[in-house]
Amino acid sequence: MIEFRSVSLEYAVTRTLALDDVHLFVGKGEFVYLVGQSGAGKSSFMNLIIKRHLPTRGEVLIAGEALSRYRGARTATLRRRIGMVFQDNLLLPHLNAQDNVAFALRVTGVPRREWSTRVGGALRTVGLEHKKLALPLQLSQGEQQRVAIARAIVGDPPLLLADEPTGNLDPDNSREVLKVLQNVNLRGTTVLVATHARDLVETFRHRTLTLRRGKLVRDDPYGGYAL
Amino acid sequence: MNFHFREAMLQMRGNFTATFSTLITMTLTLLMLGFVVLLTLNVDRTLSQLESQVEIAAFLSDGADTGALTQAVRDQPQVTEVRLVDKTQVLSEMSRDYPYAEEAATLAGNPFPDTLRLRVARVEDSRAVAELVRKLPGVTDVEYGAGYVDQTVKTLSTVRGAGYALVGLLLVGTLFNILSAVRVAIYARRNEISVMRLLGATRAFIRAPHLIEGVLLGLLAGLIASGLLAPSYLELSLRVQQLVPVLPIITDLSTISPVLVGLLLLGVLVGLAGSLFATRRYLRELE
Repeated sequence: MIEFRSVSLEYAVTRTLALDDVHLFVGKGEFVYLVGQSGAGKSSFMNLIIKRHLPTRGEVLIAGEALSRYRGARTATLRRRIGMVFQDNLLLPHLNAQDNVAFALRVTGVPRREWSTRVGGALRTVGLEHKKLALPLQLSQGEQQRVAIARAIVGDPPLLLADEPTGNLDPDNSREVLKVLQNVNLRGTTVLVATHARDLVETFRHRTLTLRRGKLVRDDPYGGYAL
Repeated sequence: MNFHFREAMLQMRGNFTATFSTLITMTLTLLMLGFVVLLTLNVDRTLSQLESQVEIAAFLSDGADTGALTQAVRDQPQVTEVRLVDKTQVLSEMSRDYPYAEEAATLAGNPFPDTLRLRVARVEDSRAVAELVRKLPGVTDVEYGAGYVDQTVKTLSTVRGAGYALVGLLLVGTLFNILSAVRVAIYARRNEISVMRLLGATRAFIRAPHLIEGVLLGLLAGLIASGLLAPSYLELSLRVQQLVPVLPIITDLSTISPVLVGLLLLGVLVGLAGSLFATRRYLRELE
C-alpha cells in the first residue's frame, strides 16, 4: 500500500534533514503507528504521502505507483484516495457535522443523491449520527475529531492517515478516537497513525514504526512504544 | 454551480470594502473608455468629412507634360482621385465666384495655370502627398489648406491618443484592483481552501467562486457604466450639436449600441482575467 524506497527529505530553506534514507512497506489493511518525539519526522513522513512535499532523494509509492508521477490534477485524484485527520480537526465552523462530512463529497464531485446515505454511514461509524445537526462549537473536542474522521472516511478511501489525532484530547476521548480508527481499519482501510501518545500505543497494540531524528530506527510488528 | 455562486456572493459580502472599491474603479474605467471610444468615433467621422472636402491643388507651369504628371500623381498609393482642370475651366470656375475675373482676363489674359486636383484616402496624408507632388517637374506650387488640415488632424489625434493612454492605465489599475480583491477573498477562505485541497478538490473547483466573483463584478461594472454612458452621451451630443451644428456628431443607436455591449464584455473579460491571475498565482504558491 505504502512504500518508501531510500527516502530522504531535506527542507531547502532551513537545510534540515527531516527524513534520512527511510525504507519501509505498509501492506493493505494494516494498522500502523508512527511514533517518535517532536521533530522526529512524523509529520514530514505524512506530508510525503499526501504529496505536500516531494522527497529530496528516493521514491514514495502508493498502491505501487510512484508519487512523482502524480502531477497537476492527478494530485487531487491521489488525495481523494487518502483520508486525512489532523490534530487540529480543521472542521469548517459555519457548517454542522453532517455538512462538514458532506463537504468532502461536494468537493470531490460525488452526486448529491448519494450524500445522505454516505454521510449517515460515516457518522454512524464514528458514533455521532445523533449529533449530525450540531455545529463544531457545540461539540466536544473528541466529538469534533470524530466528525473529522467521518469526513476523512466518507469517500471510502483505501488509506487513512491520522497525524496526532489525539493531540488535543483527554485520555477518555483519545481512547474513543482510537477505537473509531480501529473500526475503520476493520472495514479494510489501511490506517497510519502518527502519535506520541505512549499509553495508546501500549493499550491498542499494532505494528509500530519508530522515527528518531529522521531515521527509521525500529519497526516492531507487535507494537509497543520504545524510544 | 449553485454552491459556487453562493460562495461567490458570500465572499463579496464578506469583503464588502474591497469589492465596492473594485466595482467603483472598474465602473469609472469602463465609463471613461466608453466616452473615449465614442469620442474617437466622432473624431473619425469628422476626419472622414474633412477627407471628403479636402482637395490638393497642384498648379502647373505653361508647357508642362500634363499627361505624364497626371499619371505620376495617380501612381501614388495615397491618392484616390486625380483630375486635370485646364486654365480655361479654372477661369470659368473663378468667374462664377468672382464675376470680374473674366473681364480682367479679357484685358490682361488668363492668369490661372492648368491645375491638377487630387484627393487622398486619409486626410493625414495630405501634407506628404503635397510635398511629393511639389517636387514633380512642371509643378510650380501646391495648396492643400495646410493651415487647418494639419492643425485639426494634430489636435484630434492627440485627444484620441491621450484618451487611449488614460484608459490603458486605468484598465491596468482595475486589473490590479481585482487581483487585490480576489487575494483578500482567498486569504479569508484559506482554511477552507486547505481543507478542500486535502480532501482532493481540483484547482478548478477551488477557483470557481473567485472566477464567478470576478465575472459578476465585471458584469455589474459594465452594466452600470453602460447605463450611465448612454443617456449622458446623448445629452452631451445634443448640446454640442446645438453649439456647433457643422460637426457630424454620432447620435444613432446602431453606432452607440455596439459600444455599450463592448463595455459589458470588456468588464466581464477584465474581471475574469484578474481572478484567473490571482487564483493561479495563489494556488501555485500553495502547491
